[in-house]
Amino acid sequence: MRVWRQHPFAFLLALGLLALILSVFVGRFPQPYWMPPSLLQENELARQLVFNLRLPRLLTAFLLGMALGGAGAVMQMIFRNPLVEPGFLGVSQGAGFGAALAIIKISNAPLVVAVSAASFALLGLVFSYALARNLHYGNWVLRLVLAGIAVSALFSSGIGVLKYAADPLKQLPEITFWLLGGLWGITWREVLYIVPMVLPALFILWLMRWRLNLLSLSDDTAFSLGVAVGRERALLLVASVAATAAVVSVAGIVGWIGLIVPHIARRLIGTDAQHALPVAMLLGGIFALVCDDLARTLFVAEIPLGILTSLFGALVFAGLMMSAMPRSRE
Amino acid sequence: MNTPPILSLTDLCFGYVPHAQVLRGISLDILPGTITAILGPNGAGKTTLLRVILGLLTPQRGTIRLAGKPQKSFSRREMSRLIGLVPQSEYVPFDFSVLEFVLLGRAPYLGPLDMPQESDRAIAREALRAIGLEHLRERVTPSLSGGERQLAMMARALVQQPRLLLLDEPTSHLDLSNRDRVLNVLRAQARAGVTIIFTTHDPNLTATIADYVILMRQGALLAAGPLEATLTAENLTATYGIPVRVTRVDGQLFVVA
Amino acid sequence: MFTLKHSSTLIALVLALGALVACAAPTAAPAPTTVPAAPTAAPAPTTAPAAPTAAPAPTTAPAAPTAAPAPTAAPAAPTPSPIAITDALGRTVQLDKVPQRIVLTGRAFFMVLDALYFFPDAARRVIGMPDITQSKNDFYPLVDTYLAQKKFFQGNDAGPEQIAPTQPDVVLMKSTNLKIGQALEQLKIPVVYVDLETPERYTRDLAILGQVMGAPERAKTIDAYYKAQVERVNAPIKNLKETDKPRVLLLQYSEKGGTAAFSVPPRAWMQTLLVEMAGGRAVWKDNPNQSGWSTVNLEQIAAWNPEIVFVVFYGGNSKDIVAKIKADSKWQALPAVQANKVYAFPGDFYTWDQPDARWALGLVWLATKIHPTLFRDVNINQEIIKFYALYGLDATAVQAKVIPLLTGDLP
Repeated sequence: MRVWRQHPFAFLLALGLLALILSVFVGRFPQPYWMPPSLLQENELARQLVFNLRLPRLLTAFLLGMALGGAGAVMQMIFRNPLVEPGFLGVSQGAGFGAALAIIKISNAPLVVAVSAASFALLGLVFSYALARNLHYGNWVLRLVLAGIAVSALFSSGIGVLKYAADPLKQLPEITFWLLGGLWGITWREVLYIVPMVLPALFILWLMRWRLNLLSLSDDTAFSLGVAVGRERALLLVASVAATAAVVSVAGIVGWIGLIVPHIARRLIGTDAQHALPVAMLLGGIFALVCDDLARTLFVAEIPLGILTSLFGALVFAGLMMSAMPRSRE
Repeated sequence: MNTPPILSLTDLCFGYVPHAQVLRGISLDILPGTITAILGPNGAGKTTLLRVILGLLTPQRGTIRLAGKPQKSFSRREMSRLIGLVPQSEYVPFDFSVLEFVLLGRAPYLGPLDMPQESDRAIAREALRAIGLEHLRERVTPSLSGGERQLAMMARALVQQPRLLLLDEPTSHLDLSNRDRVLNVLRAQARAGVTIIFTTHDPNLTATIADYVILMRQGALLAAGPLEATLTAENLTATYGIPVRVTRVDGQLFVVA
Repeated sequence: MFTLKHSSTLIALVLALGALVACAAPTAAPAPTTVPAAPTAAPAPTTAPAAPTAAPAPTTAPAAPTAAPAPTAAPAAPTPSPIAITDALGRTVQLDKVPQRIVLTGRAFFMVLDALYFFPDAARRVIGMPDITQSKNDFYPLVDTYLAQKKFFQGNDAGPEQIAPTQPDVVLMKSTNLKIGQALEQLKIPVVYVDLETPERYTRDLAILGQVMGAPERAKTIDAYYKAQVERVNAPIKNLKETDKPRVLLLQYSEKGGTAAFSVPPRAWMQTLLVEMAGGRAVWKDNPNQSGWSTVNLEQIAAWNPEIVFVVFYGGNSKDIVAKIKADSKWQALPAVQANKVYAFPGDFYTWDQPDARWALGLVWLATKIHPTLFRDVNINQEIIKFYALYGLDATAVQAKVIPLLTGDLP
């Protein structure tokens, strides 16, 4: 795999494009799994479906994976903990709470639910930060992690209360489905919602990819190397959370991508975030895309995306961990 | 000597909590190109002193001047090019290779959005060669021994090309040959004009390499001055609270407790 | 570092297991358990349709069928003799006497209640029910003058704590609510389960309700109505070949989590059965998910290429949804939309697709849409009047209270 060794990023980019192109022809129309490309020319219905249904969905899936993979890589380095994932600072649970609140109290309209979810996701980060400032033991990392756990738990119990109060016939199944994640309702409109928030955020992360290494050192060392630790960290966190909140608000809670993809990326290309971050983004995109292809194609009924990402993510993760650990990279 | 001190502390007082002073009225001048040892028992405030000099901690009272200018007047960028820190230990949960790790020391010369260039990589490799770690440059840092990790941290500080190098217990994990190598590197740096300040609780290390000695006890300065004059039995006994003898072995001072 | 990686593996495996378990878990409402047989073409007694219309019209506004026509054992206090009822789960329940104090609870209890209201004395004997359904304000006042005396429980899973104080003689619930039933039986409160999910079970369960009410003849009368409706629909189509039966798709529209979703029901559910009984071919029957509504995307819908599409909406008027569909450019390329064969499933207080008492109306309506030429003589308004007569409501009451509420594609 010499191409891989020498130009890993280009290789993945090409792989991603290939996956996107192939995914255009995968689906349940006109028969399960594969649509012959010529059908696009002949059939108006096929054109409608591909351009207005499949294409936005593919792009959203890819963006979702990029956002979660990138945000996960950033968070794991900033928190110096390989087991955190983008939503843990109350972001995922906050988004879930915001969505449930909108569904029950406000309105079912997609825009309302998405905005509510994104707002509460960001609120989760704010609360975690505020709470961490008022904790008085442990270092900065420990405080934020504890605060994140507390805020997540609060929102999660809030979701429980809302589920309990929900109309069991109409509202409850909606909330439950949202919490499992899925992209069946994506149209160009949703793509338009999330692109302004996700692409700039990912761009910021990408620009600071080498800087991330410094932020994974101890605060003293980073400071001595001239890093404005608090500011740079905050910028990266806000960008990560913004990207995460945006995709979670339209796709629901899709777990495991943000946790596993950075690990795989680091295994493949090394810890240096200069390479690991872009690889994590691309891998995340491809992974999410493939999972969503399966979700919408495998059976007659849609499979919630979160189930597939957990399943495959966990399998890949276990497999990777069980293979030999490299002691050096050559 | 008319060269201005590179570091000048006046009546420095600091406490982590208001009523518990860790540094009490420290005043000293450090001249450029010298090697100074800060000696004292555990808990004397040595590491805290380093962190205050670095700007990590803000003293409640007193002034710090670097190269004649107040510490506050330096931007963080300028500070990082001026002062390098080699901490006592560092926990890094990620598998950086030694080369990547050392390369991080080039941060002061890179903008927030810059990536290291080939020139930076060359500097890093050169530092590894000087330290004697070149053969390990592709190893991942968690697989290094304690001593090798200390050497790597030092290489990282060297790559920073600072004018003032602060080291916290630099040889505590090193075996004799590595210790010797480190001392040689430090001497070479001093000859090139870099000022070295290191903390230690080992008087014999001090005796081997330091030009000047500062003795601290419970946050206060007990004595400060050139090696021979300051590293005396009375000073050391006062510092450590136990009887200490100073002799000479092969022309070099040797301290025995 | 080693412990970190080992625990990562462990966590990964545990979570994979959890994901697999979650995959297997049912998503929506619990499913009826037994496999339904093909709809029976029961030879209906020809007098049956006449019987309900013989019900005398009650006098004043909220029709109280207390001046009951039904030949029930209505006279007060017959000598109490113990009865044994075999319920929908095959259990034999011993009761000291015909219950006078009946409580309903559990999920979809309103389906049981709507069947119970067929019995004239039910309004008086039902003393407690959950407070959940909206129809408390719409439908029940029409058939039940005893609402003020009833106890309304919090939550549709009201259990022993709320029910026991009312001292019921029996508690009725659908057979999917086993947990509540078991809890009640711990307190020695008798529980009778009914199912009412498919046409055959309607026959069986109406008989059970008849036993509970001590009015088996009334149960037979009601059952005769349903059998007549089924036969009415079945007769013109029973000799049709498969190819004469159009491909039909029935979709439930919901705004799941803020995004529009269309789902199809399991093949064992009433919705599927109604479509097939009405002479359509249900295109979604090969869906492996049998535990509840499953979301399908537009691609799958297009791949099925149905000739007729019915849209059910529980959250409002399905006509609005159908209008939205017809205006959506993605749907406009679908042959069924182009042929203008997308219909909004009707309903009054409840939509007619559910296993509620109104399923017979749904069946007839479906037949008129699937085979319009064979059912030209059907007058839906008359059917509605015929149905509500079973509750003792006369035509004027129906015109005044029910017809204005109709939703869906009705003439």
